[in-house]
Amino acid sequence: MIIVREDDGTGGCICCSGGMGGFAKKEHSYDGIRKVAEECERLHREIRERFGDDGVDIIQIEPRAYLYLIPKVLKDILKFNPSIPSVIRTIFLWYPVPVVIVNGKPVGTGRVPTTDEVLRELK
Amino acid sequence: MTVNAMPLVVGALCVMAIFYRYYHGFIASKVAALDDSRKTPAHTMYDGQNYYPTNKWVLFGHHFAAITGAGPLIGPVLAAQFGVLPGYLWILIGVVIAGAVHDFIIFFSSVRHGGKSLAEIARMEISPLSGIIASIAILFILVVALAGLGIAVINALSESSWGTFTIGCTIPIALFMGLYMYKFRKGRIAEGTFIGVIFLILAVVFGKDIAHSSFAPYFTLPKTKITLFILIYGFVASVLPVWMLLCPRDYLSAFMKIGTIAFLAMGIIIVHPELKMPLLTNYIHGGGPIIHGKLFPFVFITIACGAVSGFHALVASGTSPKMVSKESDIKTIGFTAMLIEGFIGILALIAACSLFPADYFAINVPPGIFGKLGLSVVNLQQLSAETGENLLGRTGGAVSLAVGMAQIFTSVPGMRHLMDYWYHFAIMFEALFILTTIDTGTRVARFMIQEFGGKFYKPFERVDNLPSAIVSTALITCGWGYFVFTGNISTIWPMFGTANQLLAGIALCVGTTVIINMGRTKYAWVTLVPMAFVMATTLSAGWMNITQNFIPMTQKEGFVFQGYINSILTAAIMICAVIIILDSFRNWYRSVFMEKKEILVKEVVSD
Repeated sequence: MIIVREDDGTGGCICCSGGMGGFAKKEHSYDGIRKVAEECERLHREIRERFGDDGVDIIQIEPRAYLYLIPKVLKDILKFNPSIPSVIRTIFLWYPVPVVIVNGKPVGTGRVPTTDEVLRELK
Repeated sequence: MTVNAMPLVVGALCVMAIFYRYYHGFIASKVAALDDSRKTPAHTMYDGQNYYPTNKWVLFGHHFAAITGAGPLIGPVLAAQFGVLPGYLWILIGVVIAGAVHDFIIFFSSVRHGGKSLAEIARMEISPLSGIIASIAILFILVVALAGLGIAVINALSESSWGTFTIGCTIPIALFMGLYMYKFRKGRIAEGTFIGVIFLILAVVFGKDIAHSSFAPYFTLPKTKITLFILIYGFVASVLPVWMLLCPRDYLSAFMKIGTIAFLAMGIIIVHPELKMPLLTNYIHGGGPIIHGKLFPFVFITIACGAVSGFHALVASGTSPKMVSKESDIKTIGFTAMLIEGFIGILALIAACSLFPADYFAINVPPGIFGKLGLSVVNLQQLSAETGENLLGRTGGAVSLAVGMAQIFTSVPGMRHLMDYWYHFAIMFEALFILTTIDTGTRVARFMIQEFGGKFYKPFERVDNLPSAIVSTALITCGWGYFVFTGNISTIWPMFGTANQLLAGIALCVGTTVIINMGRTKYAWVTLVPMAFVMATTLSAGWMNITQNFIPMTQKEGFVFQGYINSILTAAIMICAVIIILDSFRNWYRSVFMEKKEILVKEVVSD
């Protein structure tokens, strides 16, 4: 399960400025991004509590980590064989962030899905 | 004697691999004793938001993107005045012995301290005084860094309608992307970034038409005007909501950075250029036209990022330690990310050294001074014609790097006639993340000023307080703007290097304290040796800068104030570093000798 969402702490070119780091917490215009992150936190926690540490592989990444995302998604697609339209959307990142990719298929694009939605896909 | 780039590239990769396998392996297993059975803050403080276990390669990508910026590109280019060898050796030896160890040990310390920042670790491990001083040092370094990077962009854009148009376009493009990704088609990051990249490429392409049109005079601006615009940009951008400029530009620069650096690496491997710069130049004895001091100690502060950089301590004690899944991952992330940054520094050095020395100096030195060097340009006229820019006296490092990169790119088969496009693409690539740095740096410094002001007047601390935000932003912008207006790359870059290296020295000092406090005093040399070297070279360079450059400046009419300000600020940061070292010595003495004595006394009493 891959949770793709933006992060407030990684904002800004960090080299030679230190980046926003902990100061991002003071920036009110990050509120939208933080709210989504809190929702992802809730989902992450609930899935982890349900399946334990080793039951489900949960990865939270930023949209920037596409170099990691693409092979991972391709591997999931080959393994779980989801529908062609969802394969195309997933490979070309054709969805709004936040998104949760479960077994190669995007679930709840543009919003953080409920735990039930994710569980349905996981099962 | 000239050398080919290929043996340098291959040699650097081999040295890095050997050190990673053996020396860094030794530090990870014996000094830090990484232990995967210990839970990291990502598990113990797990909140799924800031603290959460992250895959090693994802975190590596994030950490690497965070530490790689303009510094490792510009420093080596400026240090090329000493020849190929000094810069190459310092980057290579510095990165394996000091830089990678510095990043690793701070990363490790932060993980063992619950993901705390460098200043907090200094406060906890050394004393509260050291914590405060580390914060002051960080603020000062930020101001000088912004000035140093700002001047590089300003010199690249002055009197260049193509460059100014292209860079100017990045602002409306980023604003459009911000509105697109966060308002019109919420969350469509990939779509927005794709459109942004297309627009950026179009801005580079159509910049040529602008330069040859009746609009050209509107974009052909002198240095003073460009400086003013950059200052206004820094002020406005740092108070705007992050989604408007910072976030979209961040996406653009992240993708551009990875793509361009990868392409440069491939270009150098395919083209493997002959380096025209000699191994050593006469300027190793001092009197260089770019950096005035001698090779020792000035090469060590000219190349900061790339060899060892204090800013990395802020990243290594920032978000990365909160997300690392297990301790053994710190080895891969902490060491390797820095080794690759060193490799990028070597690529930048190669790009600059592939120019003929006279052409390199003609670009990096003001024309008046270049005339006195007794050098005749070789390819400059041709390069100027091919890039469509007057390259003479474009100091700051950014232009010669762009010319070097463009020269390598155009040597790749099929690219021969694209020199002007590649040059402006390279300028856009550099300016893109320098402007992001200016935005972020001014914003962070503003928060620090507000935090500090809040100790005297509570409402000043509130970041949503508009008057407080404006006053503090104005203070910071005026601070770095002052250096840009009054200085040049020869005065600002050594100050930036001094400040950055002293921060690295402070971080290594904190790292040594952590090692000693862990009871591994016999291994403290792994950080103590680089700390001693970095501190010795940087304090010497700082002192020489004050006595040989800034104090004589006070004797010149019109430079009195600037001379005193530069002297006082350099001295202040040096004093900060010395206080932390002395404070650490006290702490080390207490840990090593006093505790031994206490144990002996206890043993005697129990006997």
